[in-house]
Amino acid sequence: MSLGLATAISVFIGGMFFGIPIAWLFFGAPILGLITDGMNYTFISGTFYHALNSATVMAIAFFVYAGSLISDAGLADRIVRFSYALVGRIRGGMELVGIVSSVFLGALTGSSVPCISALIPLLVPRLKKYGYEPKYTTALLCSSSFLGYLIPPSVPALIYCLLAQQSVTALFLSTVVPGLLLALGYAVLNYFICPKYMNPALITEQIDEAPSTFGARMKELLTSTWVAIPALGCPAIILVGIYGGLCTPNEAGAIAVVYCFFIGVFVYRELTAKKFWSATFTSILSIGVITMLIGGGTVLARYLIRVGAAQQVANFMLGMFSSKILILLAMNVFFLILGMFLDGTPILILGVPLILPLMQQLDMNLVHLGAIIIVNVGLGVVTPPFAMSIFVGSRLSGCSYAELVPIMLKFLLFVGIPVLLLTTYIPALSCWLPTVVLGPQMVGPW
Amino acid sequence: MKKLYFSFVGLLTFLENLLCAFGIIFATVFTVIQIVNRYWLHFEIMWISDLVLNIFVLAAIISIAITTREDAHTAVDVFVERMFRGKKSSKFIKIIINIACLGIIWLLMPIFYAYFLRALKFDEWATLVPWFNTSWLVEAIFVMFILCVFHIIHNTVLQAIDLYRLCSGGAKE
Repeated sequence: MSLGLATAISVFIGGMFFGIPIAWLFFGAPILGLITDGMNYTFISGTFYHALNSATVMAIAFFVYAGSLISDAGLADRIVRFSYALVGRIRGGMELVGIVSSVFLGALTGSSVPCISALIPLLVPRLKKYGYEPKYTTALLCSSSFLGYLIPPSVPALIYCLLAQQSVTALFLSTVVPGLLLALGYAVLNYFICPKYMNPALITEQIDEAPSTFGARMKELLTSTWVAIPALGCPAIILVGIYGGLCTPNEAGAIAVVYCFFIGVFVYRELTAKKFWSATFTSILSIGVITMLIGGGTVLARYLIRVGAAQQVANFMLGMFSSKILILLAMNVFFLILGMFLDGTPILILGVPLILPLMQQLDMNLVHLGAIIIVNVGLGVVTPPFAMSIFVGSRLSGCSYAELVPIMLKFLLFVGIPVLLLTTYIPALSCWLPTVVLGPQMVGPW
Repeated sequence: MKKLYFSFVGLLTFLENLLCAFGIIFATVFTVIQIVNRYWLHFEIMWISDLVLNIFVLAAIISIAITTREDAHTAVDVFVERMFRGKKSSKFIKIIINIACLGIIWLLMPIFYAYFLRALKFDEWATLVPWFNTSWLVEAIFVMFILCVFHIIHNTVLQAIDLYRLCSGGAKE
């Protein structure tokens, strides 16, 4: 390892623990490394500009914007009502509403934080009245929030495609089965542990009596579905648009924004000018963060390629582990450790260029790799100590960080990590659906 | 003087927000118009996607300055928050972090300035939008860094004033 590379790594890690914004470190670390080695660093400006000048960055921005609009446009509320009609009556069903809502909202927002921001204010106070402890509801919603990363459209999938030059349509489909498995796993675990977190002292309201006849139940389900149809139409339009070959992913993102705007203003009539500006400003901030991370991260990735760091990682891993199984396990551990300290986008930007040459040498299917990395990135959002979902969830619900972590660890250890391992070692989980929908030539051998 | 300065900051904030919001809304609306045109209107407009991308890139560049202004860039602050719990120490560490960011931008400035000068000297026009000079985007990156420097210095000075007030007994820990 050259002195420059050692300097860059030390500056990056030191700066990160010191609280310097990661986006600036993406620039600072390679510059100091290049200066130490006496190398030319004029490539940085061009690399930064060309990283931003991309239709995929625009697609990411559109999906972020649509995600911001959804919570202010009243779509989340209808999704919750619909989920309640679907699963609210079974044991632990009120909590299950949160999981099902996360699946549907994931399909709307493509991200985790908008999911939590929309669901916690809606569900935590309501479920508390029925005796469910707020810490449990918050922890469950935070844990299931990353379903937004796995159910298409997905912002991390777009970033992965930008970095690995893969098909967006294939990547979107590759995480559907792992996402549904996670949702199922959470539902099963919730069924068993939910009664532990019921506190009769909190009950101030009784859950409405279930309709006694099948007809009455169907009527209730149809009514809530009818109300939720405009909200559910958003992911349907996106997916039909992309997979029907009618529009590109960034065009689908723009349609999602305009659709949410119209639904919020004309159908649900909840999107006021103030809320619209608030959603626009929130998305501007998110776009600023993501753009800077993509631009700076591309600079860092280019630096790592120039100094041969990615190849060194590949050689080291191939020398250390003899089998592909162990290398994939080591890769998962690497991403999980990154996830303890970094948020989704930086993990992708930092990790993918480092791991890609190694995976290409192992003849790994890059769609399968994308699914593994996106599940990893999703777990990163719920892995303490730095877990974005816990920070946001704690702020929104008023529960402390320490209260949420033990419950979230149960969901992580009993569901999250097993699903990650299944996704890693059973390629069919991620490659089957894209192969069926898009054809084997689009996905490649797995 | 103070009032004039804060009016300038207010105006800058307004212009940044306006330009960025316009860029993103413009990109959204015209992307949808492009689809409507493709399937229903069938006008010969080849340049929409080119223009939309260029306007979006401009908005994205400005959004970086806005994020810096709002101090919203992602950072791993969990350790710093644990180590520096008091009001004084947290403000002090924030000032140090801002100075470190300024140091990084100081290293970046010469290369982006050279890139900016080259863009000024050699115009590059968009392929399908002959009146859109893509060199403006390169120039906007340099302007964005200048704005970032301004916002970081502004935020640092505000933090330093707060720290000074805390230290001189104006407020309790």
